[in-house]
Amino acid sequence: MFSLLRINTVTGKAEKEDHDSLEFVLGGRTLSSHLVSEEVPADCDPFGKKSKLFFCNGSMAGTTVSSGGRLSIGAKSPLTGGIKESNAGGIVGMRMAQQGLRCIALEDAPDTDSTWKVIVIGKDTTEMIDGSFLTGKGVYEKSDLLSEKFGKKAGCITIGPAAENLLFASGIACSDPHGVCSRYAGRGGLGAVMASKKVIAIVILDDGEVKPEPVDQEKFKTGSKKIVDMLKENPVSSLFTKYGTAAMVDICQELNVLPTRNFTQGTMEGAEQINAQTMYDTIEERGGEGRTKHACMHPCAIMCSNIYPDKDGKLLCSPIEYETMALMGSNLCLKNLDTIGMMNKIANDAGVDTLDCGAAIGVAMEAGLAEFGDDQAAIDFMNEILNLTPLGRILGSGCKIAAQVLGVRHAPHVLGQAIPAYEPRGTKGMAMTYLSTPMGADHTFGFTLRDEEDPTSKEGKVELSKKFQVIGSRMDAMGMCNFVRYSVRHDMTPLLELIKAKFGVEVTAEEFDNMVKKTLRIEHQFNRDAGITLQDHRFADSFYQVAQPETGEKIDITDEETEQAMQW
Amino acid sequence: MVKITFKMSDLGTVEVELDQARQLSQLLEEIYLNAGEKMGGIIAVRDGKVINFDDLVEVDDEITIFPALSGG
Repeated sequence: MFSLLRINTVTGKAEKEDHDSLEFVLGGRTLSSHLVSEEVPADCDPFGKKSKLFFCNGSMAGTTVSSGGRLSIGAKSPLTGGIKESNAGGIVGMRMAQQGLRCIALEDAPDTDSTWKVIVIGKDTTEMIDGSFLTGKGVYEKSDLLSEKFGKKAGCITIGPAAENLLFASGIACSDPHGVCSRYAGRGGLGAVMASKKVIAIVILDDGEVKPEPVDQEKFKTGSKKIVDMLKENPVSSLFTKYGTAAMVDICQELNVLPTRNFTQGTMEGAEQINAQTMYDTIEERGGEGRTKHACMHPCAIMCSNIYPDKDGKLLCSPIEYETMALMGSNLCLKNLDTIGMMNKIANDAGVDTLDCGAAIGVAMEAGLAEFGDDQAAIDFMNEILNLTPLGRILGSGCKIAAQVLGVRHAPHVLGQAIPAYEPRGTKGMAMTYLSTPMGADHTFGFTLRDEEDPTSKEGKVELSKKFQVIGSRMDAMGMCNFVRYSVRHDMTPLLELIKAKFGVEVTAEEFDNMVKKTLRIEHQFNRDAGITLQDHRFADSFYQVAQPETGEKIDITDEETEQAMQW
Repeated sequence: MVKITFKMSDLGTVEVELDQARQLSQLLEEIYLNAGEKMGGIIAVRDGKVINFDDLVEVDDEITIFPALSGG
């Protein structure tokens, strides 16, 4: 049996329910999308009383299995108007498991003038306490205050000032293993959904006593070790350990898909100044608190995260990921990792998505509010968001709204969510994925780039995107880190054997993939019920009209092809 | 002369004299054997396009090899 803790945010009443369906066995996105689909009216106001917010850990949370502690957060997105699943690393998933929880559901919504609350979940009680001590503060300060009050080992979930003001690009921050709320479920404006419930933080105390008790202890232990061995032996995983996702800068530059100058180009002269090698060398050279080979959750054998230090070796930002390096770097023609690190730090403090805000700043630069390549202007834009100035509120609402307000037609988004760090005209596989996911433009949903023989051709890309939509969704489906997929891409057996050893539930590879496809189906159905049409699954018209300079390519994917990639 | 550059790898840049076109897989095998080390999952790029292991490498090609990572 798996516990779902329902909390009414108006009355404070907390009730536990037990469930044993396969959705609850798997947890992760399988469960969060199932619950959103079943319990949230698709046509509701994402900030209204009928909207709900779900926090689900995965099937391996709280165990010794490497990289199994992702926290999946689901709700109706104010940014896309459709279903949203965004997930984060950190320790919250593990703390939930130690409290015997598979899911926490925030329900109902108090009046907007109600006071802010902190929900504290311990082994004996769940209570809502006054949250005014956190109001208006940045995420770093909130994180310190929560650690002071509840201990560094508590699993904390909080939001920034951007979310408190219902900005659509606001995310949800979760505790990392050091007790800092730096692990973001950044996409889709879920921070604002949490804020609409007047919940400023959720704390899962470190007093949980539920131990993982596998049905077959011996097989679970062997299976868990096997995953670690596979990750360590896999050459791709081991390179992640050294360079992290930053390695993509060089790859994308070479393939002409590095977003540059508000997605008008696919290469940036001087890109090597912000590549993985430069970041690695800088971190090594500066020393101090800087780290490569850093784990965002425990246990993790991949350790792809990093701590980027300032010139004095003090922590500037942790982590800096490729997507941020591109959207807040090359997309703005910035060639300084310290600038990107500073922007990322401010984004984390404001509690906003680095992708949507990076894209919004690109739009602002195209509108002439600053020059591309102006480091100080880019940092100033981020401070506008942190300080909630009128311009900051526009940028913190994501690139679609920023483009509408600033009169920019080349707005890099699908369904209102900013395009991640792969120029779609240069990679038609990724373009197909962006167009056909139910989440708005999202690279993790079907990462085709490394498997495209001819990235600029759309031939075969419906099938390729669909293939990787399944592969990519498998890890989300059970709360595993996406990077485990390299080790189980051709054979899910090691993970399915762990599910059997842990719960005594046998799931075949076919049944598992059917579950993944069912999740995709219900996500698309939710969006249709919410009023999203095929015509919403398009890029801005300029991507179809103007060729990318390096490849001469435009988007030539038709609505019919997009629809085919959405059929499950 | 084929020039193969291994990014984020100690293998660095390797130049190989070729009389005729050869499969990428054969070429890589030979380079790995000589260097005594191997690069695992890779993406091979020629002129901005990904090439596969069984694709032919021409005598004057310049190829860049990347670790097959992805963003997250």
